[in-house]
Amino acid sequence: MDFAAILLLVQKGITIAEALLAAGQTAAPALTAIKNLVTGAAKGSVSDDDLAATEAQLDSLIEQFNLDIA
Amino acid sequence: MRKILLAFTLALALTGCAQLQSAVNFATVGVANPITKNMLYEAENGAIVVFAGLNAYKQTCVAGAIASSCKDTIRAIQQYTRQIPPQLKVLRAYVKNNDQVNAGVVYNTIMQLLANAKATASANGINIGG
Repeated sequence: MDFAAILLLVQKGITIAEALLAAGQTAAPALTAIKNLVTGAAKGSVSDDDLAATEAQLDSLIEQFNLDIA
Repeated sequence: MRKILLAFTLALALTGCAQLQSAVNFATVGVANPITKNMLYEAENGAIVVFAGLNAYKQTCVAGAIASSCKDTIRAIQQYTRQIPPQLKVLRAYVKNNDQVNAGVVYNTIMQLLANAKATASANGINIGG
């Protein structure tokens, strides 16, 4: 894994999570993603179950954003 | 409102990170599949953060907390984000089957869609950093 790139991603993710919280928004998805990145980097490889969980969460978030807005 | 816009700005700024923005260079056909399962995992977690920010912006828009022009902005961004799901499905299959070259092509397509969404947001007055 590219640890430098992961660290950069985590740093930006933390900044975003802080901004979301400051704006009164939920940061749970962002924090989960950050945790996944750190955990994955520590393990060195990702399991199929971990990948599937991430894919499910991303699909849900994309679907939510893509819903028509009145 | 400024805090809400800041959250959205920072969320889209995440697209500047290595995993999400860098295009994979395929100089020749037949090279080993460079889009590994780990890379896919990292990219998808990065995208989760981006879409968390986008959804936060959409929620504030629906709640009427920001100018109603936000709806047009969201619809403009959706032109690109709605293309992502089928591409993502294909990319995941390629990676899991270790389909050489094709995974990189689809990955680049997704990266371009994210870049277009980012550019659309910027064109609508949302400052994109990074």
